[in-house]
Amino acid sequence: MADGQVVTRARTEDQVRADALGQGIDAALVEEALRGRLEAFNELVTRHQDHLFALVYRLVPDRDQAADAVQEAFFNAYRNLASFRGGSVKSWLGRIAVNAAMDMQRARRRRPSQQYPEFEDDSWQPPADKDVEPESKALAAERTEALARALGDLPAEQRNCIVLFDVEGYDYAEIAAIMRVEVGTVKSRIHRGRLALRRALISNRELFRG
Amino acid sequence: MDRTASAAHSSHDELLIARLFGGDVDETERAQALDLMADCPECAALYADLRAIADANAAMPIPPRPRDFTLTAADASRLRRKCHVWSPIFGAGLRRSLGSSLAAIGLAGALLTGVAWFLGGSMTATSGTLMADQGVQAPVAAAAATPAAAATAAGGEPRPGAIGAAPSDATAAPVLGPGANPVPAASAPDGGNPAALPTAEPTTASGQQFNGASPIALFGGENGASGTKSATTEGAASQSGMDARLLWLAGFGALFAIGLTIALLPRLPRGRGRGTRT
Repeated sequence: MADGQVVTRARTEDQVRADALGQGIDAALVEEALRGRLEAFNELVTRHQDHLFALVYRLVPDRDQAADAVQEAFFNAYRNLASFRGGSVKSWLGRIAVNAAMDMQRARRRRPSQQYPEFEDDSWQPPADKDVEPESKALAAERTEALARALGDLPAEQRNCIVLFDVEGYDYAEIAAIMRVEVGTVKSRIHRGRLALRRALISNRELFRG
Repeated sequence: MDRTASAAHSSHDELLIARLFGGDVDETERAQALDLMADCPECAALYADLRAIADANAAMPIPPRPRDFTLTAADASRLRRKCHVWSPIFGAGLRRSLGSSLAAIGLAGALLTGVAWFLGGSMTATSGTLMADQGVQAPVAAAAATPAAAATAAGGEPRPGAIGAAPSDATAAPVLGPGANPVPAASAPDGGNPAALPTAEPTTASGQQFNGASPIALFGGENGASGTKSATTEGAASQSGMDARLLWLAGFGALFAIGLTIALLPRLPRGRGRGTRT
């Protein structure tokens, strides 16, 4: 955005309404689950598992490990359901999932493994519209692979902050609360992480334009 | 892009552009950043790249979820179970540290007690006695003194273990008070050779001449009066020292075992074992 207009995070009215409705349903399900109904909790799991897996997968770039982290997050959520103090269940679950992902990252530091192996594996390809040209499809796959590799090479702290900000839409203060660091630290990690990503992708910059 | 522009860009603050993109600038900085982007094509390109990368990141496809994460009844039952008894008190790390420390103390104590036990009769007996009962120190030295005097009385060489122990009866070794003249011990009641007596080295109560005897033995008998304990008391004291050693050894052993148990005791399953932060 060359005119200098900064990123805005405005949501449409429909999104806000849908979120409010979703929060009401989540709150009712939490109430039911607190009364001991496992089905209610599993309904919460069903509603949020795709979102949590997508979030955790970006933080823990290995599908199996991400799945383990998500499962752990749901276990933790069930165990600590009574500690839920209202508000957005989605955000609460997101925080638990991020913590589970960071635990997994710490474990990975002790046992390094390949980052985003799915993008190296031809047996899985990112989904694409049927109408998309094969050339565009190939370009998108190449872009995804390059971005995944660059993200995987970032320090986990920077990657976490960037994902939470760019993908999840958390603001700086929320990320600071989740990661238990100062807001200034979050800002620094995001800005420096973005510059590092750009340096890593400078030779592939054409993939990201247009 | 010409070389002059690149050289100029190298002095520009890329972090300022990144902060502008992240909405983390005040009005002054915003104006500076916009000026940079207006004047420097590379700064403008940087901003465009940051935006493109952020968009691509948000749109990055995610592989399909490998499984369903709903909880089974067994999961729920396991998760509802009470945590392990240690968990409310302290976490795994602290538990292991405490357990290891206790085990180390227990092991060190047991080793020290064992070493002291095996280092030698008079030394360990006295140290054991000292540990057990500070008031029953002398009999250990007295126990050594009596046979020494007996040996002397029998015509043999006096044993240095008797140093400092006052004679409890006629069989005692020679003892000198500070500044006193050496006085031969009383002759043996059984008629032993008195000529052998002068060969016994005179000693002082303060233990100035101890002829290689263990300082601990000296310590045990430094009070001459204490040497008057009877043989019966000696036996009791020796038994008491043995009991004390055993007591200490058992205590340290128990400490070691408790520490090891705390450190190695596996926690009951809680989810998959990791802590919970919500």
